[in-house]
Amino acid sequence: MSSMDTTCLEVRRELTTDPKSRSPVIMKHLSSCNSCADYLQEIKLFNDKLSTAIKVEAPEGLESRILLAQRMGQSQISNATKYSNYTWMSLAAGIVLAIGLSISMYKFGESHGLEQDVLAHVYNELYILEKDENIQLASLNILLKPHGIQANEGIGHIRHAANCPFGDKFVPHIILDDQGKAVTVMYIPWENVGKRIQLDDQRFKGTLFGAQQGSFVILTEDREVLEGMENRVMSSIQTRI
Amino acid sequence: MQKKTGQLDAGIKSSQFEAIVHAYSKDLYRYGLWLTKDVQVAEDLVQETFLRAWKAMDSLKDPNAVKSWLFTIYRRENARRFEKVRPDTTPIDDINVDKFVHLEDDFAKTELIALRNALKELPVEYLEPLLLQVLGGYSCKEIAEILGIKSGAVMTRVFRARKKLRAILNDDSTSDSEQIVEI
Repeated sequence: MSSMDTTCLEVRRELTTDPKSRSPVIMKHLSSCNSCADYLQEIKLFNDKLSTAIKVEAPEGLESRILLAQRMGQSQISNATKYSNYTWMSLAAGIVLAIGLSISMYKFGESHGLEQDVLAHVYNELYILEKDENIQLASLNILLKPHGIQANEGIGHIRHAANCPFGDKFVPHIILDDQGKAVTVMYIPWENVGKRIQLDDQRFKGTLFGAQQGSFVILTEDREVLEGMENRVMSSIQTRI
Repeated sequence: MQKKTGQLDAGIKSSQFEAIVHAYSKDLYRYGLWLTKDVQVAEDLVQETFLRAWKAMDSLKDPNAVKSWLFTIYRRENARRFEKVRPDTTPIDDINVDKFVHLEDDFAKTELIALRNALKELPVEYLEPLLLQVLGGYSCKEIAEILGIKSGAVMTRVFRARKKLRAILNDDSTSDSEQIVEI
């Protein structure tokens, strides 16, 4: 197409407004208009720059100060000009940081494929591997219910469980105990990977496999633990009817 | 004490809260910093937002709604700031426009500094939907729900904001000089 027609203008307006728009009209037009396809590439490039510009650095220790304030059960501030506690809050938060938090350089979305996203998430939450909150089965099932699954007693000792942000949704992230070793179990309800995928990076060994619905991930730092864990998970977590 | 049916126990609630803090606190801070232009106010509002979220976590039925819930709390807290203390000065301009970690390319740096300067000057009614789109990943319809305005108005504002910002990089004097007007 050598000149822009009405459709080109409409498509470009929509892409300028929302670079991620992939409506049927847009997709059909892009497949036959090289000029607008080039425009989309320009828009994507601009969007990357805009995103980098907006993502200013957050202050060091922000997360630990929030968690400290929550644990203290009181507000650090009552209005926008009351900052007297700020210095000691920062110091105390540093202690919390040293005890509990280990933030990796991995970031969700920078990788390609579910297995990289899973590893990125696990590295972002390494601190939970040290926890043992002795979660009760009934509590775990409250957490699993919205995802359409439930666990039975066979799941064993549950050290930690939470619904974690994963992409733009939430997934159950569970830490089980196997003879004192932490085993990460995650359930991705919306994606069935089908074939078994082995995960093996410098630290974690694991598997990603499809279930009746969705996919499970099992990760440990000890390959021997992994072998029995898949059976334990599959026999103790079922789809809710 | 008997736990209410469907209520999370303290351990899970606490873990969930930590996960939410790790996932969203930085983007909420960025959102606040661009809106308030004050690092301390932006962080205080993030703190207040999460404290309120913690207290109300049992009432959150859908975990997938937590992100927009947090943005809504943050906006409410920001509005309350003006009810409590009427600022008698203009906001402090604390946005460090030339601080880019891991960016060695001088040209790219110059472009991003220009973008940040332009963002600082963008009227809030155009800046806010753009921030929700980029930081929150929301569609125009979702932004309209958060801001309580019509979806068409969001589309117009985001379109104009993006067009103006693109013009900064493209050295497009026609678009650059275009006035942003309310529709």
